[in-house]
Amino acid sequence: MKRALVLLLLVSLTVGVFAGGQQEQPAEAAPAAAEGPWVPTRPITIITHVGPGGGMDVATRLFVDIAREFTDATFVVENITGGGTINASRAVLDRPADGYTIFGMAMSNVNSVVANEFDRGTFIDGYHWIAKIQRDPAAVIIRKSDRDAGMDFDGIIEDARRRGGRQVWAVPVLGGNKHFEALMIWQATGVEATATPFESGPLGAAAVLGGAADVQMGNPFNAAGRDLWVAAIASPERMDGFEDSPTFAELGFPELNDEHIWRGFAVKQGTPRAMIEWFQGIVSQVHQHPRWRAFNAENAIMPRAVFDDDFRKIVDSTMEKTEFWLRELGMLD
Amino acid sequence: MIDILVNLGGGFEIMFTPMAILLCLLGVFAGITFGAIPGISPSMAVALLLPMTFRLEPILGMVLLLGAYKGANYGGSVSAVLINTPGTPSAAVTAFDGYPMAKSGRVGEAMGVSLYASVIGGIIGTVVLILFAAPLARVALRFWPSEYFALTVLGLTTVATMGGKHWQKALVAVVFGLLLNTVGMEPFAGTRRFTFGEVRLFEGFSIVPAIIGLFALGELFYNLEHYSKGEKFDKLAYKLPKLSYYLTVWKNITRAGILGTIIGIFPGAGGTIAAFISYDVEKRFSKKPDEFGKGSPEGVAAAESSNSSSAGGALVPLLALGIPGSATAAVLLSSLLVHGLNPGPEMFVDEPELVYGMFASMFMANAFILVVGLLGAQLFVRVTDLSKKLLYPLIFVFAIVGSYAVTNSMYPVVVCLAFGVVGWIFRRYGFPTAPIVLGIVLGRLAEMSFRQALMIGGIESFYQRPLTLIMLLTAIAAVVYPIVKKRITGRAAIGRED
Repeated sequence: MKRALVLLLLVSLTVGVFAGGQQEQPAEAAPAAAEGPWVPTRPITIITHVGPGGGMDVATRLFVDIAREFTDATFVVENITGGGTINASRAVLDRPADGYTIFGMAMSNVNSVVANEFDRGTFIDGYHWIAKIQRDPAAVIIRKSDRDAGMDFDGIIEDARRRGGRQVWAVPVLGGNKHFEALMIWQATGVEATATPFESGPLGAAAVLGGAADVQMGNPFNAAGRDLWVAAIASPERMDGFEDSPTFAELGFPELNDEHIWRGFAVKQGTPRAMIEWFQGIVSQVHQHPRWRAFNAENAIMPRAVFDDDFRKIVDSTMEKTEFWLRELGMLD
Repeated sequence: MIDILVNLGGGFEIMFTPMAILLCLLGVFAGITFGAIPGISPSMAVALLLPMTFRLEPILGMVLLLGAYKGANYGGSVSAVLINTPGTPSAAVTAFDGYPMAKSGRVGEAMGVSLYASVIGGIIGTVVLILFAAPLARVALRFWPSEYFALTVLGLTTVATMGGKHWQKALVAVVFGLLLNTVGMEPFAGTRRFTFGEVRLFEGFSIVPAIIGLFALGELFYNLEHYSKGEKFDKLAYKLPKLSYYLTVWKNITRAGILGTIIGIFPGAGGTIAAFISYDVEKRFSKKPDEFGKGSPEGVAAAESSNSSSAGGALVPLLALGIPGSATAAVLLSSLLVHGLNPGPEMFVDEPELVYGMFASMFMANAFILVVGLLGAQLFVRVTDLSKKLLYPLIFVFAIVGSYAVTNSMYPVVVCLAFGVVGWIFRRYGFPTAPIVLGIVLGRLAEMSFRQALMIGGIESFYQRPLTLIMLLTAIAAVVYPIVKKRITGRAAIGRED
């Protein structure tokens, strides 16, 4: 039986070396197929970088559920987490550009490429940016009890000034979008505060509710249903369900009024144009669907259908912003 | 109280419909099956069923998901007891005593204790949830990072009892586990540590494949090394004990159930920490502490009861505040959101049928776990009857496939194999592997909460907040007390000899 042990260990070693040494380089782009209507003949996999229950995961699962009304295609949602979102991206790029693999991604994927100095030629230019589907506005959140005691956005800023950097703002991670948004607000208002990471929006909300943090830099949805109030929101006008929350423009900071995180879909470069157009058609139909509209409205998210070059411009702008703030923070050489 | 009973009655009315019963049973069955497969955690089991709920009524969707949640929590213990392969991270603690019991022929007893402890623990968690959701949620919010850090320190002190006489070896193992957490992207700003430019190391060593490797493969390699032809398991007692037997562990189940619920309410703490701490507490309370780790039914009862009850605890912040207390609660939250429901204090007023329907479904899920568990146990226990020539390769395949399932990639398989070798080496040289798991589980939370506490309140956080101070002092006492007691006992013995 000791032979069996040696054999098993050898098998383990071989599998390990094989798996460890596998070159997970993106495969060569497949040649574009002949033009014509694209008809899927097998299931389409949408890979997301978040785990089950994450923002993009829920949005994607609902999206494909609604999409069933417009197509007979079968969609499979696959969660590939870890590696600072790059594992999912690699998995998409490793598969053929035949239209059967879509990347359900978010702004954090672009942040990760910049922050980790990954090859942009591969992880940004390697994609065709099909459609941005959601715009999740930035929101400054405090306790309702503080609001009832007279606190508002101006009060937050005044308190921050008084405490000289000791006011605690909950963000999910340092060097992430919410941290950048907080920095922009502090810069615009001329104050300093302490950004403390609490890993996720809900945990950040819990930190504010419990008093561990004074303010949450989040999305309006983080306040919904909780004893929290949105003191400022990045939106062209006041949002349904948040009628008592002023926009940044109303508060005198129009430059902050467009801050948001986005979610969307991308495919590997070389994917047949016909497939891209077919999927964009699905996006347009889902975008108008009452269930999609209702889901987004209930979560204070703005549904979007921004395609191709327009989406790519948003990606480029995200890269610029990320690079700028990471340099400001000394987190990028 | 009357209101609660009336609402609960309404909840049971919803549950006693054919569709609700069927979905609850389906959820429990799927949960137990998924939970028993290493690599599929309760959150993954629930997520796999999530799309089914989009077109169901919200309450029916929750019935299905809660059934799966509860079922998966129990299912994890099945493979832990039978083949030392915890199906879920929290079931690792069940394996400490469950597997030795199975190995020594008491497989029916081990399965029975884990089943009943899981069911009763689940009921305790549900009752606490129904009665005290709102006040407990407020307590959970008062838990600041300094308290979380103190909780992790308290958790780490369990290593003192885990190691027994060989506490130094246990200490080495737990430090090894803690150090493993330093590999990968640190939780604060995503700075890379010890990744050597290898992207796959960015995520560090994830807990599930590490546990599968340490327990299943480590044991497998060790057994193969010490295998001799014709060797068999001890004579197996398949039969589950009579009901009266479980009275011998009722105190352990109750205490661990309450403790598990309390720890479960703190977002981020989770069932694994609950199981470790409850196990430690029960060992300290036990009249036979030496049996822990060698096949103690009290150990199995403590681990399973606390693990199961922590599921109820995790729903406290979810339902009362809309804050998911665990990864699985996050998936449940997403199901509610898809239906346009925002959990929180208002949901108890606006949607009482939904909230109390969920409570009722948790009771029903526990009943179904008992039924499915009792029927299934007769079948599951036969696994140990397999020839080792068949069983060992099966465990190997099970471990590899389970690891692959974690992220559908080969990286967790490599981690599993590497930890298998580590587990084997540790076992060979008499180092316990359980403290490694403890170190991995607590390391990240300890680092995160320590740094958060420093940012928020500086070093003063650790002595100016009373609860933090109490927990830190308790942790010190937990380590010092056995040493002092041992010395006093030793001196007394020497005195008597003189």
